[in-house]
Amino acid sequence: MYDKQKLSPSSPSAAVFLCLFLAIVFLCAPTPSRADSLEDGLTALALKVCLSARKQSIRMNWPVSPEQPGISSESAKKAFLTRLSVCGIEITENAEAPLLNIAVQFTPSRLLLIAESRGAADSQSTRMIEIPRSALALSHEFPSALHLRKELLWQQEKPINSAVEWLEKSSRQHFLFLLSEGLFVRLRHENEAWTLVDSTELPPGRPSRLGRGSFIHGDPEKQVEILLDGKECGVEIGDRISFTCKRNNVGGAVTTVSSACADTYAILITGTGDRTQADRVTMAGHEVVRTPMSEDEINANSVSMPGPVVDMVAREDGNSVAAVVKNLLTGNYEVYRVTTICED
Amino acid sequence: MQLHSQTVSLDPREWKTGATASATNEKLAALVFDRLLALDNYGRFQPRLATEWSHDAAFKKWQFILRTNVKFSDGTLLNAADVAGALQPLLLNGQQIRASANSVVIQSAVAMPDLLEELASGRLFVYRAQPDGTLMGTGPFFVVEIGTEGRRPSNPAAKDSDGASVARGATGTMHLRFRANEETWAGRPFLDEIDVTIGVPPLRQLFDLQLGKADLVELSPDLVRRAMQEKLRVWSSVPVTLYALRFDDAQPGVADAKLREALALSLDRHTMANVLLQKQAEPAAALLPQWLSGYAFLFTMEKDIERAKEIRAALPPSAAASKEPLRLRVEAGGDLPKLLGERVAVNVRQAAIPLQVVNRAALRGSSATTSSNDAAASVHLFAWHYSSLSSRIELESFVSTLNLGESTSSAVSPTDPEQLYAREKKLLEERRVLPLVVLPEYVGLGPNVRDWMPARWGEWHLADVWLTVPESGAEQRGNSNAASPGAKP
Repeated sequence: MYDKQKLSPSSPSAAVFLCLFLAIVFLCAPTPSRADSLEDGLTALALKVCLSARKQSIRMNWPVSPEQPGISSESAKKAFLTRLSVCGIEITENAEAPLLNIAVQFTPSRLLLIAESRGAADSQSTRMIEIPRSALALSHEFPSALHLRKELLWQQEKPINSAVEWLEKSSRQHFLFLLSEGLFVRLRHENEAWTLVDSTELPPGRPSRLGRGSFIHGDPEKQVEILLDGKECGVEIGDRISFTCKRNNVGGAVTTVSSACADTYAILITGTGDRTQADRVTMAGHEVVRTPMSEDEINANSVSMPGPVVDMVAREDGNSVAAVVKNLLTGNYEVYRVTTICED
Repeated sequence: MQLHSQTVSLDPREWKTGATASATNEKLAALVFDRLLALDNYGRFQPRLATEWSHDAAFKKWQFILRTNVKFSDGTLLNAADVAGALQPLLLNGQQIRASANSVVIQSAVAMPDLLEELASGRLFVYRAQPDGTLMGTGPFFVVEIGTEGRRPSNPAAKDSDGASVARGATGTMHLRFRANEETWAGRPFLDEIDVTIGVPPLRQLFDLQLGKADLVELSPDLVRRAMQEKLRVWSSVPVTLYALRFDDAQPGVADAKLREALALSLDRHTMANVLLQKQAEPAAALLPQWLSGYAFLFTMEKDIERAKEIRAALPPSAAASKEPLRLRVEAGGDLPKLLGERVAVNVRQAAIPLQVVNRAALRGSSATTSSNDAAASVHLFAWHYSSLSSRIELESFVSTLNLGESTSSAVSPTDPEQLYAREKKLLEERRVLPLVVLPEYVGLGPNVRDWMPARWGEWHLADVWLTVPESGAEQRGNSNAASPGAKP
């Protein structure tokens, strides 16, 4: 009973004691200069500011970082201010108050959170926290075009050479197959998410700077096939993955997808740029022999991608294609599902 | 490919920290050798010869698992002993590396949180030293020929002599020819061969690029604007070379902090960068550039010529430069440092500090007869090339190479960026070194160069580059913008 009364917020003296206790704990904690996440970094920076400044009201410049919108978000700012308020630092608009500049700077491998305080009441001081850039997760949205729709299915840091969605007829299971760093990777769609099932080494062969292997346009009546070192390899999908290869020469960044407006197929093509340029998937028409398109026609019939399209393969039912894109902004490899939509 | 550098060494053990020549050396060495890991443009460490790595809680012990079945250019397998033997002489003092089965372990008495940055940059290439002293690598190319202009390249059997040091002859240029390594673990590069000509004057490089005689050239800053006006492809890195002044501690004349302050306040860095260097450089207020340290923007450039005059006037008559001018020795080669030196002299004279510029060649010429002249240079204009991706290591290298401070092994806590900032701030406040400008590296690219994807700090990644093959006139039909199918990888 005594303990309960002591810690009860309903008691004014206990509330004061609790706040004091928390403030002491907060201020007496060690002050690391490195953090492994943005949240931890902001907490550590707030702690450093608390230790170097007396209890007062300050003005604050919060960074706007279009490169990393998550860092300068309102929620991050709110969390930072909450931590400052614990040690008695409040934000004011008073121009006479000391100024606290918060800056976010990138080095090749790290992110630096910098708090620089300037003002008459507080001599200039600079506090820093560094975070490995690899600890930051990136998420960017890109505008869709009019006639094509894309959905991000999967992304990873490791290069993806090719990807294809596959509906297993017998089990009705929905798979996403990837070729990545010499592996055949099997992902299954479960509970609105892709789950890694397994990964199997591709048949041995010569390494390539472009990675090895590419899915070949799927025929629903056939097995999954990949083009590997100039050979056409059938993939047996079972409890384990196995490959049967024969020499052939096929390939190309042109594929077809069923039209949502008519009982026909649309031809999808990628651009001719190299891997330094963002690409787009363009609906080139319904004929195999294409006529040259104007820039306006291309813009009206294409969907922009955030980087070069590494590969593009149709799903076995022909209703969509999977396009592998290297995002030039993040460096991640992304798989998009591209489908047609019919608009009146 | 044409380079301006007069000499090239592919032996990382010979490279001098901070030397501008080391930039060229690194680029060519990257054709032949691999590092344990690389840093990509997105701040992520990527496996190279090491596929996995881990460290203890104190960052004092790191283990690197090595990639299997990696072969040198002669077909022999890379092993952990090769890696340990190659890296030990290149690691920092106090860092010990040992081979352990298929891995290497690097240990130090002090924490090494930035070991990955250290290993991903600079001279930390893996090689195998041959009995004849040459080095062999596992990289995408190997050296096949070395020759001088005007005669057929020699040394055709030099497949293993990847560590050759090449110096330009008295006349003409030198060639290095690199051939694709079919067995390299990362996959054969797209280019069959790379022919590198070193010692080519900047203007000739520009002409050769225009005429299609070269696919890649180095552009000197004064030619960048011209290249752009002529619609050539120009790529620039982040600023990688610092030009700065250093005061000679052995000269009592510049020991006076007030004189150094007056000199610092007289410098007009904006004019140097924007007028003299035609906006191809940036004024520098810090020793480390913003892209590397992240905090350089906190330093401010102070220019106050009136204050400089006041300080100068208050100096005692016995102060340096009262009786005879200070001597500024231009240590860096080329026309650009000379121009900077002359501009410094103009600025400093405005503060009533007489200063005489003596370039390196003049001092060399005089040293044989009047060695005292050389010793009298109390201010030095030098160039520093940033080579490490660790700001701490770069600053410590800077300090130790220029003898700016105490023993640096424990000068800065490797885990605290604030200490690094404070150390650089202290160095700047001491004004024993005055940064002037920082320059990016400029590259001119031919129209056929594709997949040019360098790191922004200047690694070229030539193994990923490929060339379109120009189509003959009779066959030139269809989409002229499309790459030749036969050339695209």
